[in-house]
Amino acid sequence: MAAKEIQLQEKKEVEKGAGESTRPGFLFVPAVDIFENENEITVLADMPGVDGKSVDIDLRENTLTIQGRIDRQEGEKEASVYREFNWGDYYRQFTISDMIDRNKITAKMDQGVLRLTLPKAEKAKPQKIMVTTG
Amino acid sequence: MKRKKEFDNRRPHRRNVASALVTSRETPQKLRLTSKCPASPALWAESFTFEGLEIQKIVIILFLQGNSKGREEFEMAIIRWRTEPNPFREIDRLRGEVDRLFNEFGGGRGTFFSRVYPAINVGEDQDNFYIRAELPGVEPEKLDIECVEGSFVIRGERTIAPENAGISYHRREREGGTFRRIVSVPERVDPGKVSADLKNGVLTVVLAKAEEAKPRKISVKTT
Repeated sequence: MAAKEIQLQEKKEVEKGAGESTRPGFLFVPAVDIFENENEITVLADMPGVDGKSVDIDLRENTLTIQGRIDRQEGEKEASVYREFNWGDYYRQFTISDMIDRNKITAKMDQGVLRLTLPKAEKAKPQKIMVTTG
Repeated sequence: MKRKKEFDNRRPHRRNVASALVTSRETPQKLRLTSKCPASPALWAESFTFEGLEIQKIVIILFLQGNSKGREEFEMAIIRWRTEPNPFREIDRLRGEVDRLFNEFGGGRGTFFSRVYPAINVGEDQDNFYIRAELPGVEPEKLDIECVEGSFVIRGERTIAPENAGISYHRREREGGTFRRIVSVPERVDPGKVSADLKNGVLTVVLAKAEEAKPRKISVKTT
């Protein structure tokens, strides 16, 4: 596989007023992949610096909210010499149709990537509709 | 201070050669500087630096299109450049230092965005340099760090694992591919003492400063 080179993308800040931040500092929009098959919807989100304990996922009404907090990365006595990016928390919201089985949502953090699986509710799965002729 | 004629920076300057006569108390002779004149002669005059000289006055001579007939003289007393410790000079020196560092890291003057993946932050304390990069989803086996004298290379690949067949995408913002970045280190580091750690998608490279580059405390003995 001939792999292409990754292009650097600037981290995107959450627009003012959109995220309810309770902490000072930057709030970024994580890059995501969202895809679905007939059983589930999967969300993959890049949140480097966030560990599994610092992720907060909330599904309320039709709104799915992902929040990730990062711990201080620099050491206590460390002074910044050169800076190309800022550290910050992550925040993103999605609207999801109400056919998710809320009890079966699973989330996993691996190397700074969140994998969120939202299983579809039984009634939302495609059903074959028999057409009767009379 | 007294000026022969006020500079008019708003007027476009058709003159292309300027000369400055600098008189200082320490050096009896006059320093003569000639160069192409930028848009504003006042700014040009202020861009001179004279280390350790107390400037008494500067006379700017402008030659209209290089012609000595179209000569105009301006006199300006410079009170900014002095030999005494001056907080502004300290700030200037500091800014110069910062610019030098930026240049050494390859970012160019004041550029924070290098356009090379991954973006890096550099920190230091007394013993080490810390170089950090955000590399979410990069497996440690696919990351390679090589240290050469004065610089090191971060190289690797970020693979976005193919998902099962039968899926349809709503959004696709995450990107996979290879990357390679060279980072130069401003002070001498000990090549034997480099460690790297990848945790939660954040790479931290710790470069130990060489013994001679570490700040040293010298105690003064009293007899």
